[in-house]
Amino acid sequence: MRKKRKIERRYYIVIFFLCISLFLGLLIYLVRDERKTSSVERILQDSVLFVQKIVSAPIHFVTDQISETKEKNDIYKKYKKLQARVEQIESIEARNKELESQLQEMKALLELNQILSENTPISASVITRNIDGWYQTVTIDRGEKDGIKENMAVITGQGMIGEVIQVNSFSSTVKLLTSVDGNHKISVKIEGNEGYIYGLLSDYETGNQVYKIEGIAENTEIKEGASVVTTGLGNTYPSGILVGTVTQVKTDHFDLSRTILVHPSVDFNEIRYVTVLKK
Amino acid sequence: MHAIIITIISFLLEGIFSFYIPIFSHFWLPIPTLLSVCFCHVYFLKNKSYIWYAFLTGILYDIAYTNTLFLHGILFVCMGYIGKKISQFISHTWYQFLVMTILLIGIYRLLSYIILIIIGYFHFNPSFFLSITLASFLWNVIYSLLLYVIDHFILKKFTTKRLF
Repeated sequence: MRKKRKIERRYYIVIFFLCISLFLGLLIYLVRDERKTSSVERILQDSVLFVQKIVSAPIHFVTDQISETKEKNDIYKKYKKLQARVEQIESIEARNKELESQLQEMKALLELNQILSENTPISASVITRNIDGWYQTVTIDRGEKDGIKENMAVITGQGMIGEVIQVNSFSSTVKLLTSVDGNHKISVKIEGNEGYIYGLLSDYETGNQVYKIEGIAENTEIKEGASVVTTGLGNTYPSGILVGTVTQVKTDHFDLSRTILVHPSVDFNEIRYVTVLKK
Repeated sequence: MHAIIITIISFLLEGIFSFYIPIFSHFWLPIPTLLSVCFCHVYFLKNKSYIWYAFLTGILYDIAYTNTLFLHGILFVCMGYIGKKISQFISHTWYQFLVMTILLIGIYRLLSYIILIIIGYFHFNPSFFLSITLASFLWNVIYSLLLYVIDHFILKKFTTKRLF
């Protein structure tokens, strides 16, 4: 009788650990970025987000009105600034034409097949943001019906914010660059004294709120304030999108390479409207 | 019914607040849906229906706010069970209830962090875990107090069951 109980207990322990392993295995499968969401999941997510959108609409309306009123107070200052800029537009246009022709030549030389201008922009509004701390995702109100696909780059007027990782019929989930999972490395180039220096954006320091670029050669000269832009390598992010500016250049623990800290060009707290770059 | 109303409001609040709270906030990381699930067990007569309620809320939470389907389904059930057990050992005073809230938040953060580390969602980083956990206390303690007030002054008129 006693022996029987012991065996039963063992079974319980085995079943318990089996369940935990299965659960973890299932989660590993589910969090893969390349996983296609099921139709049930899509319908549920679209419905929940639709309700969320309706509920938050009046609150957003009120806050938008408040910020609009604040902006109206500064309108004269802004007008003066814009007036000064308008005077420079002609010279900028001429320079743009020159740069465009140079770009075409260089593109032909380098056989670049993915640049920013070749992507069709799709505007979207952010419906929800996950603020749980771990996930760093936002959900936008554009989905498969609008031509959104996984791995498309997402930007704002200030620069790069992330990529689409999950697409539903009427909404999509965007993984922000602030995600600290370390699984996504982005090819970037930094303005140096002698041309661009290439590196991989590998991490985000939550404490200092800066990106980290590691593995830069020790003898390279990089100044603080230099711009960091995407290279277009890796087939997800088009080239030339601003990521941030260099705030600090450090040498690693073994004095072998440099680590660069980059301040994001985007204010991640203020993401309300985004642009998805359709390939 | 009360449990469902409280949970729906908390669920929607979570989405609305997400726009107004800074990313990587050092003070404000709301998890009202979890708290509502943990505290609403008193409204259920049967354990089985409570487990289903917690599980479905977790699944909806995953669908709306995370990309880790089933994680919160299981976590919400575990946290509901832990909340129920803790509430059996504490007296029904508001400050003991706040202690319970802090305990629940700590356990939830620890559990979710361990699972996310095991499945390789992100790298092990104790300071990140600590900052997120500490940032979770303030807002959620205030929200718990709000639930206490709602329960004692509003829902009292409609039900004999008390959260605390």
